[in-house]
Amino acid sequence: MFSKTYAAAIRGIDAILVKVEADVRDGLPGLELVGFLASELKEARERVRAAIHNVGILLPPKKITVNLSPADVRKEGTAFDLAIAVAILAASGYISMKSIENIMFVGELSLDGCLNPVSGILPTACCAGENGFKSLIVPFRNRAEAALTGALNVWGCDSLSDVLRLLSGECQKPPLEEEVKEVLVKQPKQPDFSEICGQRAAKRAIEVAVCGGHNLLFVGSPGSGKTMLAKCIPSIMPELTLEESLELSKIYSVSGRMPVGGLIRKRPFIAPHHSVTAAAMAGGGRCPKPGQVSLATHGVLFLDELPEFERRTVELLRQPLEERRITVNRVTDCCDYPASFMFVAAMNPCPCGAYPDRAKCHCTEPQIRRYQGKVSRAILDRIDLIMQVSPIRFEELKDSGGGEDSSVIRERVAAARSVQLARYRGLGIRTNAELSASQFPQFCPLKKSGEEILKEAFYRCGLSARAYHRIIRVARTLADMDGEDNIGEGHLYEAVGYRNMI
Amino acid sequence: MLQEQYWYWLSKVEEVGGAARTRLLQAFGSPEGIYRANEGELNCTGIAQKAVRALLAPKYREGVFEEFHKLEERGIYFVVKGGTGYPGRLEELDGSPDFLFYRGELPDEKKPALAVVGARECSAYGRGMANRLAEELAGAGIQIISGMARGVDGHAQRAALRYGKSFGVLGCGVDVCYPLDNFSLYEELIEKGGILSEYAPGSPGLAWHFPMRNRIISGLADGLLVVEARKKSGTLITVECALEQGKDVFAVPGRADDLLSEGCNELIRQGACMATCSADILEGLLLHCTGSLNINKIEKNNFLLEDAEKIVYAYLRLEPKHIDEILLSVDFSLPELMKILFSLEAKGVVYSPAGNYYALQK
Repeated sequence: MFSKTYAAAIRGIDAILVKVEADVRDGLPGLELVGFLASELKEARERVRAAIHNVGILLPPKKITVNLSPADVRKEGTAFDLAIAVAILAASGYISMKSIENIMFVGELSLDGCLNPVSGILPTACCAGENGFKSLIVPFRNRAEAALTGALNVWGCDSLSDVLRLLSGECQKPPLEEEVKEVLVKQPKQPDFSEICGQRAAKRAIEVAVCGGHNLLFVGSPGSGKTMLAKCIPSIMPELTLEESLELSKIYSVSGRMPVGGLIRKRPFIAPHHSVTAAAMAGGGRCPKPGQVSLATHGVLFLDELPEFERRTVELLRQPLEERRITVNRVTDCCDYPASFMFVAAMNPCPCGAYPDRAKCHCTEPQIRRYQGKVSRAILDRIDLIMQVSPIRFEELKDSGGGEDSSVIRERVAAARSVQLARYRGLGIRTNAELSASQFPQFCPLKKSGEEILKEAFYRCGLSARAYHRIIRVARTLADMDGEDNIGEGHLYEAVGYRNMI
Repeated sequence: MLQEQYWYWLSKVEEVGGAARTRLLQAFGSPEGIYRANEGELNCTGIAQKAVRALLAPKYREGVFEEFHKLEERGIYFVVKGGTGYPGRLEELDGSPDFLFYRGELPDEKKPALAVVGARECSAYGRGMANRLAEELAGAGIQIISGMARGVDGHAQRAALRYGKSFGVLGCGVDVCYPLDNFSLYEELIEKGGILSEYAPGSPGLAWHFPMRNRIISGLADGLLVVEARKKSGTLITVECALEQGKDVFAVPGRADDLLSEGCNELIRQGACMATCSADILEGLLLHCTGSLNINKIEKNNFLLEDAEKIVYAYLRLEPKHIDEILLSVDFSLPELMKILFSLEAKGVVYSPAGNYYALQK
């Protein structure tokens, strides 16, 4: 007899439908799995056989063939176990064909028949919804995540016997809506700007950067609060839209990092250690998984001690910074992951960190230059604001709590962002940071006096052409924050103030 | 006959150092004598085998005289001790160089000269003091001699060139710019002052050249000013040379706990003149100076500052201050302050040593 069930295979951050076909016929008894399977999936043979046996069903001594189609797409992971078991049982006549129609099965089996949770449930559920399935059977602990799409009947089961009872109509489990809703509204606490004393200039630079979508580099001695400042950045970013939240949740689901239940509603703050490898940063593995750049999507990617990172690791940020996605190529597969993040980095000004305080810093000028030179031009060119942070002073500690709340700043950010969205509608860009030099005449016209200021800055600071463009972009954002149509002199003066030191 | 071309040949033989050269001159009387000596005769002087081989080596001999005659085409001049043009200040010194190469011009014999030296990794204070003193002294007609190094040397020479003359003594050939960062200064020195060296054109800056050239720096000047020096600083070699040559030593004092001023403070304790302003140095120099000096020429710089700029200017010091620190003390918003600092920078009063730090230029 022949039967088929459905499961889904993860590709990138999406899932594609996989048909699991089982055929039971006379022949030498045995179970064979085919269909371009990874080794962990080939092992499903033993798991499925043991699980079926341990829920008290004796498989007939016949030749059983299971095929996962499309057979030319490599499949891996353990999420197919349940679909394989159900297909075999249906083909052997233990389950009626009718009862498994329009249902997708996902889950890993234990030898005793229990169902273990798997990763990538959210994309699987989306795939099931798109392909017109009515129900999705998942391991109990994955049920909340599976229910997030809302379009499906989601049943969470603890074991294979639960699944069999459910299919035979012996019991009915309602979808767990209440639990899911609770997860949706829960907002985890984030560091808030009101907790930071002093650092007025740095806070302002952060606000400007978030408003215009600019990347940001902090330079400062150890302990000056660069990391603390960076951690607060997500708290003033606009709230995630549902679309963004879903995309982000898919990434986390695929990489098996989904928090228990619930869409991710918080903007991520990803701060990989400087020993991170290029593959971990970009995403990789024999079959690609999302890397740090993708996990930081819609949030902040923070590289502390930028010069300590391997050059190759930092260089690969070029593509995501430019295209807001990253392509990971491997022998077996090629995946495209979203990687649209705000890039924030921090570094010491010199090997010892105390420059320009020469009483403490003994580094020679070539040493300092060598240290700063570890960060390549190409990366620096993609950073619009460079802010030197100074160690906090006692006077500033004293009047702590005088700072603004993140929520107040966030409102201003939202206003400035909406101005940009309206201006760039239909152009494929959303923020000033994405403006190309060719669009300057249209969006950033300068008055005569403004050009004079830039000329002065250009010669005095020895700016490069790119730094010149950066200043104009930042000035555009400053004008938007003031709600002004044209870039004024004040905006340019301030933009020059955030000019780079390197 | 000064045999300049033979001197030039001898200058190119790197293997023959100062001591060996003296011994050879004693034995053969003149560089031409050395040039014509054969291996046996050279060996008799007892100099190292390596040096003997180098003296006979064709690589130093081929085309050397043509090269010598082409020096002037390249803007390089050559003076020999005892000959015309050789600086009178060096003539009487113990261990003065036998010859000098120079580009631009040599220091004026009749005008007073001051050597300014200090730490390469100087603080903003050192930079500011070097700027301030060198500028005022150069304006008063004093020639500033230094080593064109990073830090105090370079800052003093740049400042001096704005109002007067300056001369750089190098530890490499005069056609080599070391350190390369000071290339703009190097070119400016050739144009408005001079570059000197006792090493043949093309010779690289070897470590042991630099202590040697320090005796020329102090020798060319009537006094020596030390701006910033650590306790064990290379600058103190120059001070030793100056003392041996009988020159006055001035030192800019620093705070007691400041490592970069420890050397200077120690010098003052040992009897160096304390230099806090240009008048201190002028007084000291005038006692020795035969030339005329126009003290009245020193003028206070009157910047044309607006009121807001004056407020910020008054708060800034030689030591860099972070913009947050300035914000705490003045009643301006961040954008306003950035505007003011921008125009102060444009007027050349303020500079930014790193990122958002600001300090007075002098």
